[in-house]
This record gives sequence, C-alpha cells and structure tokens, in this order.
Amino acid sequence: MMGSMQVVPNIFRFSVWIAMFWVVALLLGCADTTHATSQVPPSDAVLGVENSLGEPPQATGVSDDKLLAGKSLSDSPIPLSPPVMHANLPIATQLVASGQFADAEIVLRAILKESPDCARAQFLLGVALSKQKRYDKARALLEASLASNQDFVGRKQVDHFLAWACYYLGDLEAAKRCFQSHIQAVPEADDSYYGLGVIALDEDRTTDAQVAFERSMELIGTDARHARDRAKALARLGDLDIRRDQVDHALALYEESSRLWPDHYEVWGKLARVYESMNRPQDAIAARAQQQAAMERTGRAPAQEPKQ
Amino acid sequence: MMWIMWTISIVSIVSMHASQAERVVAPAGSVSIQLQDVTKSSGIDFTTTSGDAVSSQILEVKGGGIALIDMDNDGDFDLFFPNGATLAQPARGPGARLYENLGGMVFRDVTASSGINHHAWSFGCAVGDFDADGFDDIYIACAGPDHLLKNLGGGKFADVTGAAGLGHENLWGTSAAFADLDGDHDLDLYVVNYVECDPAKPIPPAQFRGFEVINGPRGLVAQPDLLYENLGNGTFADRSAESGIRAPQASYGLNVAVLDLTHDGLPDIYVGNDSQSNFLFKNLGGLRFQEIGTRTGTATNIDGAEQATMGIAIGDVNNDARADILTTNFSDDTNTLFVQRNDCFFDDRTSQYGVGIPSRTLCGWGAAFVDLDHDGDEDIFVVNGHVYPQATRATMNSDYAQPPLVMSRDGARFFQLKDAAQSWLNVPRRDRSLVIADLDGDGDQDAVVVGLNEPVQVLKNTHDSKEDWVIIALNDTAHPANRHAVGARVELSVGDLHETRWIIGGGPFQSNTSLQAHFGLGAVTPANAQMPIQVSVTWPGGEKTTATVARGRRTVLNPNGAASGPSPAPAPSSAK
Repeated sequence: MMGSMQVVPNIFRFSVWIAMFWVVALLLGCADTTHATSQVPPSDAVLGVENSLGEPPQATGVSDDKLLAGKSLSDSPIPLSPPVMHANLPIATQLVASGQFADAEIVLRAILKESPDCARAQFLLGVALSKQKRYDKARALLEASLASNQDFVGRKQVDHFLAWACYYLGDLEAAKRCFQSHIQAVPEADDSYYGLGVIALDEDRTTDAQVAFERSMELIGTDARHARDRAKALARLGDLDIRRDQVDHALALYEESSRLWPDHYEVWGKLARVYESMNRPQDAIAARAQQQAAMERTGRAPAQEPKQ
Repeated sequence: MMWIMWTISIVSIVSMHASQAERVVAPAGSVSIQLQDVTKSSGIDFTTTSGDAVSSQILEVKGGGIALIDMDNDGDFDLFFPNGATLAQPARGPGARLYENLGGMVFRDVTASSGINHHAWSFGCAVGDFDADGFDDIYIACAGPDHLLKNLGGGKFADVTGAAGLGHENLWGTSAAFADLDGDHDLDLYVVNYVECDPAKPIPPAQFRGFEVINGPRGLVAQPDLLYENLGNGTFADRSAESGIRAPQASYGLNVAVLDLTHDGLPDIYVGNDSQSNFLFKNLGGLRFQEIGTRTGTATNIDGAEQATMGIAIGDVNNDARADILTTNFSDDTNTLFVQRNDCFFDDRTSQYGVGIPSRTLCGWGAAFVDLDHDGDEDIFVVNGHVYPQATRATMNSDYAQPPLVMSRDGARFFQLKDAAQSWLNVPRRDRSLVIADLDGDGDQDAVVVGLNEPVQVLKNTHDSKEDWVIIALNDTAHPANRHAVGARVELSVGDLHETRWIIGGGPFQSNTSLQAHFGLGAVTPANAQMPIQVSVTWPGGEKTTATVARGRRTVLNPNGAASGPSPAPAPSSAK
C-alpha cells in the first residue's frame, strides 16, 4: 500500500489519509485487532535485536534487508538529496552483514575520512558500533546519517538501530519515537513493534506490551525461517505473564520459545527459573544445561574459572 | 488496511504514555526528597585512599566501606572508615579513621585518641558486640588477614584479632556481617572473600572494547568465604567447612546481607558475587547451611544471567511483609529487584518497578532502601562509579565518575529523582559505598558516602516535619550479646499504612546497615495525628512484642513489650 503512494507532501496529509482508513475500517467492523490477519507479508529481516542485557550477539551479522532495503526517495515526506557514494561501501556492507564489525569499523572510518558526508557510511558505522555495544557514538552517527537528508540505501532502517541505541542508553522516549518512526516508514517492521513492546514492559504498560508483541508475532508469521524472531517475542510474552503471576502461561510460552530457537540461551534461563519456582528441580537442571549449551554454541559462555 | 490500524494503535499507545518517563523530572520546588551536602561543616575532611589515582589493578577499584557504630552508647552513630592503601605500600596505608558524632551533624576525628592504629589495606567492616561487654566492636575485612577491633569503652579500641582466634587467613576480604547464626544469642561472623591477588605481582591488563583495562575477576582464582562461630568466650572458631557454606564452588564475593529470607525464624545469608551467581544460604539450624540461591530465584536475573552484584538493599516494595532484595550491578546491565512471593521464590520484577532502565548506564555499588521524604514508602539510594578509568559514555556507555541514583517510590513504581537544585545529586563521583542513618537526631535519614580516592561526602536530610516519622531501636535485654537484635523484623501499622523493616547484618556494600528501623508515616493530618502507631517486633528467636509508640520519637523496645522510652532523639548540639 505504501508502495503505491507516489508523493506524500506532508505528514498532515498522510495522517488525514490514514485516519480516513481508520474510520472506514471501524465502519466495516474490522477494528477487532484480536483476530486481525495481516495483509502485509512478514518481514524477512533478521535483526539480531539485543537481548535484555544489552548483549547483541557479536558473531551475528545484520541482514541484507536491514542494510540494503529502504531507499526512500519515492515516499519520503521530506526532499532528499542524492547519496554521497564511495567505492568501498559494498565491502563495508558485506563486513557488517557478516558480523565482522571491528573490521567494518576500520573500513568505514577510512571511508568517512575521505568522504565525511557519506550518510550511508555513517549509517553502517552506527550499526557496526551498536553491535559492539558502543551506543553513544552509534547514536550520534545514526542521527547524523538521518540529518544529512541523503537518499541512501538503508535510510528507512536507521530509526530502528537508532531506537535500540537510545534504549540501551536509557533514553526510552527517544527510543519510542524512533521505533514509531520506523514503523511508519516500514509498516511490516515486526522488530520495531517488538521494541515498543520491550519499552512498554519497562514502563509497566502490560496491555500495550501485549499488543505490541502480538503484532510483532503476527508480522513475523509462522514461517520456520523466522523462528528466532518469533521465539524472542514469545519469551517476552512469557515475561509479561510472569508479571501477571500467570506462571503456567509463562511456562508454555517459554517452552515454545525454546523449541523454536534452541540457541536462545536467555529463554532457557527463564525456563529454569520457572521450573524452580514450580518445584520442578530436575527440569530446572535440564534447562540450565540447555542454557549453558546454547551459550557455548553462540560463543557467550564465559571461560571456565580457575580453581583454588 | 489492518497494518495501518495497528500502526495508529501503537502510535497512540506511545503518545498516550509519553508522560511516563517525564515523571522522573519533578517540577521545580515539588521535590519532596531534599538532602544537602554538609561535608564542609561536618568536620569530616578526609579523602579515602584506594590505590593510585589512576587504577591499574583490581585491588584498587573496590574502595572501602563505612561502619555506623555507636561507640560510646550515647544514642547517636559515630563513623569508622577502614581505608585502603596503595600498590607501592599495600601493607601500610594512611590508616583507618574514627569520627565521633558530636550532634548537629558535626563530627570530630578521634582516631588518635581511640588507640586505633590500623593501616592494612581494608575494604569492608562489620559492627557488633562480639564479647557482650556492652560496647560495639568492629571487624575489618582486609586484603590479607582481617582485623577485629575491640571497643574498650571510653572511646578506646584495641586490636584483639589474634586473641579472638581470627586473622589466620590470608584472603581478600570484601564484606562482613555479624549475626546470631546458630541461635545461641551471640554474634557469629560471616566474611565474604573475593579473588587471589598479590600486589607484588601485577595482573596483566585485559582487553575491553578496544581498551587495555583492569583484569578480573573473570580468569582469576576465587577465594572461599568464611563463617566463624562465636564461642561465647571472646573467641571464634572457623566453621566454614562444616557449616556448608563451602559446598558451592568459591565465588567472587563482594557483599553480604543476613536476615530471615525463608520465613522459618532463622537468619539466612545472602551473598552478592561478582560476575557469578549470588548465593542464598538457608539456615538449617545448628550452624548448618544449604545454598538455595538458584532454587529461590535469587542467584540470577530473569534471564538466568549471572550479574556482578555489588550492593545489596533489603526492603518491602509491595508491602507484603516479605523482604525483597535490590542488587546493584555493572554498567550495560541493570540493578535487579527480586520481589519475594508467598512461596519464598523471588521473581525478578526489575522492569515492572522501573528500577532497570535508569541504572543501565551506571555501575552501581552501595545501595539502600530508605524513606527519604517520610511519605510512607521506601525510596532507593544507590551510589555509582565505573571501575575502568578509561570509561566514558562514548567508549563504554558509562562514565568513570557518575552521580548517585536516587529513586522515589510512587506506588508500585520507582522514579528517578532529578533536581538541578540539589548539587549533590548531580555531581559525578567515583563512589563505592554509603551508610544511611539519622545522624543528627532530627528523625530523617542522612547519608555518608565514600568513593575511590574521593573526599568523604556527608549529606544531611533537610526534611523538616517533626511528627511524620518513627524510629525503633531494639534492646534485647534478655540476650545482651545480640542486644540490637540483628535478624529481627519490625512491623509498623498506623491507619492504612503497614510497613516492615528488617534488622540485618551487612548491607549496602562493604558497610553495615543501621540497626534501627526507620519509618516515614506520610503527611500528618488532623485525622491521622491521633491514630495509634502499633509496632510489632519479631525477635531473632521468634518471640513477638507489640507496643504503641509515639510519633516523632526514637523509641527503644525490649522483649517485654515495654518501651524503655519513648526516648527523644538525641538533641542536636554543637559539642559534647
């Protein structure tokens, strides 16, 4: 639907247009979102969204969708200038996509030294720094890439990375704005709905969190290729049920999450806690073993400590 | 079409709740928590020592604690600072300091006259009357053998470490706590130890986010904790092995809190470990303990992640008379709030209560629950500072020097206190610990903060109401060896207000918690001013005492149910 729009002169007209659809939808009786079926195909994006401890999986690259999609001249509400290009951008993109963030940083800094106004390089460096948990500098670069008003490839995705950087810097308001902006630009952005859900959890808005996570899951769909994203959302819904003292529900969600994505070491940790709380120590032991194995598989297990 | 509606819904949700975070910034003049930095006039002009100005070894970055001790039994708290040393002279630092409380928030350095001549590199301290002579003594956890300072009365102390059967170990002690662990009514001792570390053998640096930084604790050898039984004759016996506290593998211990967390009337031991699971040692009786941290949910956070626990605070965030635990942790992690359920399992409710996000860019140390504004619920006070001198927000999302984090409780949420008018709240420091107590006898809770090679900071609470508080001091006349009743629970009821406090061993970080229960009562109105204030004490042995107490008073209660008062709080005076 968004793709059919040729020009959007300003946000006001855009909002009015959406509001008209909202009214029509209400009149047609399809505002019951509980059973809504998405008309939007699920996103192929596999972001590697950071876990609750702010630990992005270091070895995981960023999907091509996130790095390459979103050239937005056609539907940007503001006029954009042509991008500043550099011959090494494809190399940097490949490095970021393959999770070689430190190497990518070197290449991107060299690009920016030669072409300081290259917004795509700023964007990619922002992503690379985010993935190394250097959120403050990442935030500055991502903001700069947007401020350039260049029509670079990936522009639509900047807000998503910017949102997570803001989140991990403790700026929930900015994070919310960015997730919201990303959703407006990329309506199928399941991971930004997920982000809004995480923020709602932090603000103890449980109903809002549920809505956001469920919407995220709806966008993710049931395709096995997106099992990881679905698992993350399920785990958060489980957290929500813990908060509501619905431990049985949480357990079911955690178990489903762990089946979908066995490398999700955090959900094994959550499961272990739930089993302990339900006085199922053997299941807890097994879950912790799975947690440890998942951490080892993903390179997150701390080295064995020396003994006295 | 539906995605549009979803979009609008989410946008609406976000917009409607934009005020959530804004609440952390209170309008000018509306901040109910008011403290004032009175260091200059306090008489405490003392900068602690902990290694070199730019730390290079793990030994240098923990700083030291503070002991709250009424050394002269005059009803107010004096202050002891164990102090550290430097790598150049690790065995002989500038020395510990003792300050006498003169009243009116004025202190006097009485180190020289006290006979204290303690220069070992020191970290934590515990306070208790180990020999039941009526005077509180001081245990100091050190790098190397620990020390026990016996209070001789008259403001004099003597080092009795060897005579008490202590000091044989050569470990890095970080924190310690006195409590009656075996039910014989005298004070036993738990000592938390950290890692093997020889100042003469510098540990090579590690790499962290592109920087050469201080190495450890990961990769270093953890040291086991110690449990000493008080034999009742002025000596201790090491029961570490047979007590069960050595059953789990030694960990990087940093802090300890002793209280009954399992509701069986026996004091349990909660140990905060650095980068590893925390321990909860359930007291089985007979000086036997079983580690149940994992089983009770207190070992890790909601994701099953081991954290770097430094500070421990005990409070009751949902007013269910069950102790909840706040731990402070490293930056890029959050402080963690464990809320106890009815079945003694602790749920991680960090984000629910709003405790997580404001702490994410901070490296938290000493922590306390305290009702700073007497509104009837406990706020949170945490001091912060990074361990890596290279830390900046740009490099590590967290600056080396950091301001404190004070969070005001409002119902089931905590909100960060932001107030540009209170300078102490905004000055970044390399803080490590704090103690909270009514230091000037006006009923509200003041604070003393110590940092890493930082001047000691004295903060006076300027809350000005006179009738909206109660302080309960316990005097277990039946068991004078534990006369402060470490392990007791104190519950207060007035009208609809029901609050619970615990008299605990250990606490904030390398320091001790005030052995008095402080309650804010909320705004005084004509209706509630006449309501009786009921206090119920569950003593360490399980006996219960109830009493009616007066507003605006510090009341001393004994097990007979009679208040040996109410005694007015010590009157402020400029000199004794």
